Amino acid sequence: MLWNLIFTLTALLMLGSALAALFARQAMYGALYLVISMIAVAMLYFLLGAPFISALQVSLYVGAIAVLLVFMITMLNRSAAPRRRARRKGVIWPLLLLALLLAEGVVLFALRVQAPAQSITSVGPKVVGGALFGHYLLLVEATALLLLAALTAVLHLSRKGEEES
Amino acid sequence: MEYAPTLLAGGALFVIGLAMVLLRSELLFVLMGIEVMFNGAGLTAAAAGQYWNDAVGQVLVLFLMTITGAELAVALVLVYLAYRRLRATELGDISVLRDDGPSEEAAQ
Repeated sequence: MLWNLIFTLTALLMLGSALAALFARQAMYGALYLVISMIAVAMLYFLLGAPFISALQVSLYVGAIAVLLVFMITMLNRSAAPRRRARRKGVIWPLLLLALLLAEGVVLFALRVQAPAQSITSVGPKVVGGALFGHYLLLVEATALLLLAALTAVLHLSRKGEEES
Repeated sequence: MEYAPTLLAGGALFVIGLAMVLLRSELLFVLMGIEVMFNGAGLTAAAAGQYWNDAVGQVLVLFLMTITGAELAVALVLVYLAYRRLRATELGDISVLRDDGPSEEAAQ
C-alpha cells in the first residue's frame, strides 16, 4: 500500500519536473528540473528492485552529465540577466520537489517499505556484475572503445575550436 | 509484478523528452530533451528486466548510460563550436551549410 503510494508519487514527480523542464525559460532552471527528474528515475529504479542501477543513475547522470550541462550553460550564457527579486521565487518549486523526494527516501528507508507481496525480487549488483563480465564481456570492451573514440573526438574538436578563435 | 504503470511512466517521460526536442529551439534544451528520452527508455528497460527477474535489463541500462555520456560529451563540444564560430545558441541560427557563411567572413 505504502509502496504503491510512494511509487505513484515518485512517478508523478518525475513527470512533473520533466514537464517543468520542458517549459522552463532559462536553461539553468531546465537543468535543475532535469536533475530532479533524474533523481526521481533513480528512486523508481530502487523501488523496482534494481539498487545498482539506481546508484549509478545518481552518480552518472546527476554527478557527471548534469554537471557537464551546467558547465556548458555557464559558458554559453550571453545575456547576463539583470538581478531581480523575482528570480529568487523560481527556486522555491525545485526546492519543494527535492524536499518531497528526500522525504520519500527517508520514509522508504526508515520504515523498510516492502513491495506488495506477489511481486518484486531485488536483483543485486553481484548478479549484474556477473552478467556484465561474463556473457557481455565483449560488449563491455566495445563500450570502452566507444568511450575512447568519444574522448579523442572531443579533444580534437575542442582543439580545433581553440585554434580558430 | 504490476508492469503497466512503469511502462506508462517511461512512455510518458519519453514523450515529454520528444516534445522537448521538437518544441524548444535552444540547442541546450534539445540536448536535455534527448537526455529525458534516454531516461524514459532506460526506465522501460529496467522495468522489463525486473519483470523477468533477470539482470539483463540492468545491463542494458548500464550500456545506455555509458552511451549517453559519450553522446552528450561530443554533442556539447559541437554546441560549443557552433557558439564559437557562428554565435549560435538556437537551432535556427545554424542553418548555414554553405561555405561562404558567416564563419568565413569572421575568419577573414
